[in-house]
Amino acid sequence: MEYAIELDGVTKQYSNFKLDKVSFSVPRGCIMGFAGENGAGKTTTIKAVLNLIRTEEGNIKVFGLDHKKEERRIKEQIGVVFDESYFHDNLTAGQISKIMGNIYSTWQKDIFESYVNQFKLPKDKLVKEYSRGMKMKLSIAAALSHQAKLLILDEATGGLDPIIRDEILDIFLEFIQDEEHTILFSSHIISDLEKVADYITFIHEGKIVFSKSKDDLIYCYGLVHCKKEDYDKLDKTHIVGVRKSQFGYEVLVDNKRELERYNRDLVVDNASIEEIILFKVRGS
Amino acid sequence: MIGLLLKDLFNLKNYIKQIGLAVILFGLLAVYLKNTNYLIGMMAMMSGMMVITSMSYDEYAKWDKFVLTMPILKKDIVLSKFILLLVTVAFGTAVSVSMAFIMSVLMNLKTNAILLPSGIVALVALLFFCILIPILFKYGVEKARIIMFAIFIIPVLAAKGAVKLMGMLHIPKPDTQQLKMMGYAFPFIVLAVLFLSYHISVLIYNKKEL
Repeated sequence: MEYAIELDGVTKQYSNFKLDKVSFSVPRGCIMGFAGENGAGKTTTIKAVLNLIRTEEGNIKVFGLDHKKEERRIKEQIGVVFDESYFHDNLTAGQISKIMGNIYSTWQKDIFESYVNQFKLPKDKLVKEYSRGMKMKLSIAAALSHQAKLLILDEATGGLDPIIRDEILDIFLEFIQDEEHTILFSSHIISDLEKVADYITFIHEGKIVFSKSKDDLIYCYGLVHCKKEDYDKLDKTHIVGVRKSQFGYEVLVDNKRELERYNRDLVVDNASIEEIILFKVRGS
Repeated sequence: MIGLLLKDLFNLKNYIKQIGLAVILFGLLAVYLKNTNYLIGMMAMMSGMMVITSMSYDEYAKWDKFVLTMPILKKDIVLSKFILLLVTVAFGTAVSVSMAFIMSVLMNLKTNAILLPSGIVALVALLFFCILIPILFKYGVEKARIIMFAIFIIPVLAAKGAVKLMGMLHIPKPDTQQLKMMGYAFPFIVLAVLFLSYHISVLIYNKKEL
């Protein structure tokens, strides 16, 4: 399998936080959802990939190239959207196109203009007059207008209303239609990731908890609703987390298929990505 | 590189308009005083200030973090600021010299004493901003503002102190020949400082995490 991004043992120490031996790979042609609560290390990981911070340990490759030695070549082929637009307030969409045209050798003015039209962005207005949603769309238009093969989105849908979020997710799904295209999509809105991602990487307190295909997660994990007696009979090595309430036990297991086959009297529901993550973090 | 300079020029549009207004005011002052030196001095400093303004705009927009996700390296950003400095100071000096020349002709003033002071003023402005830019990269515009005043004041006080000290120690003042030699050496000193300042800025900025 070819990978767009490969991280191997990436470590970065801050005074109050540590990115601890982060390793995962983003397969080419896929959307990798990068989940984790605020402050879990998503942005730090992305900054490390983009060489915006220095790491103490580990290797990072983008398109199979060293992310430091081939920085310029790599960055020509990636588009990045952060949680807010970083274009200056006094610029217009037209001026941004001129600037970008002199930064990217592959800048496509026509494509940018078509996105500006599609997103109904006013061409003559200054960025400071744009709404938050419009600013995000402007950033996305810029990220998609230079033949990028990899999109890195850091909380790009956070703080937007559900309608605009849905619209933007559709744009990402359109982008991924080309099998050469890849997206690393960081978000703490799990439902967004659930909707579009092929793979999910979950980071918690600076460490990768899991990095798996969404199908694998849905296939393997299940929620068992049972009483204490049934819980006691379950194989504890397959229990990820338990929630006890007055109605009984809610158990997340990672051997759903096995249980369905051999314990037919148990009720095993599908677990959503959000439930899997919540159980991993809180359900002990 | 051109993209970065273009971005600065688009952003500085309003500032350039303000400079235009200042030019008119200092032009009027020059007519009133029958002296164009203020115009030349202020234009060189105000043009150089565009670099600080552009860095302040970048800082406010968090532009550097964003532009470094593009095929732009940190050294490109540093280089763009030095090019902007050279371009703005050269342009500001050219405008003020042209204006001073026209005004001197109109007011029947001597025109032969415009070029040399303008050149010196432009070089002093360059020197000042060359010292300031690495500090701006290190501490950011807000913190560097206070240091900027120190850079303004310290050399003036130091020069005054040196003159006083020379008087006290009965060291003879440099003669015309020595001053001339210093004058010839000045552009090379500024060039050396410019070169050094660029490399120090690159070193500082490469270590900075965004």
